[in-house]
Amino acid sequence: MVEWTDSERAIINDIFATLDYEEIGRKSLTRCLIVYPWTQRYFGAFGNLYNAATIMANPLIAAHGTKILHGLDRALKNMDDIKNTYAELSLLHSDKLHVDPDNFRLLADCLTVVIAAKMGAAFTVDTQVAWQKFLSVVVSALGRQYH
Amino acid sequence: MSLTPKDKATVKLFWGRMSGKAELIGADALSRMLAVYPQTKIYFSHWKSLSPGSSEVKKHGKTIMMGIGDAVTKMEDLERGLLTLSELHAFKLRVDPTNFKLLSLNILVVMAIMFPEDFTPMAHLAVDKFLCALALALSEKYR
Repeated sequence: MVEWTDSERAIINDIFATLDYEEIGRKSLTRCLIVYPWTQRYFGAFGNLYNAATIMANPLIAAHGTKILHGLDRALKNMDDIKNTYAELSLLHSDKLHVDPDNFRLLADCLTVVIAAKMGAAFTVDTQVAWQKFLSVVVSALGRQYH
Repeated sequence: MSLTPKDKATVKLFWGRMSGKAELIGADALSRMLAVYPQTKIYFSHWKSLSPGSSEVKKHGKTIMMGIGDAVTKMEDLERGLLTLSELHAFKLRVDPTNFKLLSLNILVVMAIMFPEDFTPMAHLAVDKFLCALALALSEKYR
């Protein structure tokens, strides 16, 4: 089981408390689709992904970004049992969507970059450590039902 | 995944804005990597202090950024340009090449903090491609 210090819990809760889900969700997913274009294969039904400009203007992608970020809420509310919280989502991603689990890490990295840009100097080393620990637990939980 | 002329221009542009703060950026990226990925500390076990403000971290952050700056000038042939550095990392330092990715991510994080508006997804793509190409060239002599 993952151990969280009080400081780590506080850091993660603080980030989510002031998070603009629409903005950060849209920015993270579009960044992932642009920086790692092979991830676009999972979004065949999402309309125009022709180039960076159309990806960034795509409303379906924006909506999905928001959805992903709200999905992280569940991990936030169940930090002591993220593994089981995401059991169903993990099955969905492996059995139905067939997403290569390496892509979870790519999206997590993009999310980290977007949060860093948003928070600026407030994204201290300690904040980054807690944030990436949280995301790595999420990524691990999502990949769990694959094997 | 080779660098287009536009990628190279983007990297040079950002490097131009970063080179003046190379020591700070390098130290910041290095500190973040050591904290977020503690396994990387193994390469620095001979240092007195691995904490963010330490003189060793600052000095080595600068060394790394100078190396990257050098790579920027050798973008047309990274493999040849980084031959000596590759030998150093492969035979002397024996750095597991997977760590290059970890440092790269932290360089990107520091750039996002420094250039919140300008570090667009397209800029991120160009810099990530460059850092990947750099890592590949550094891995050249490993086997």
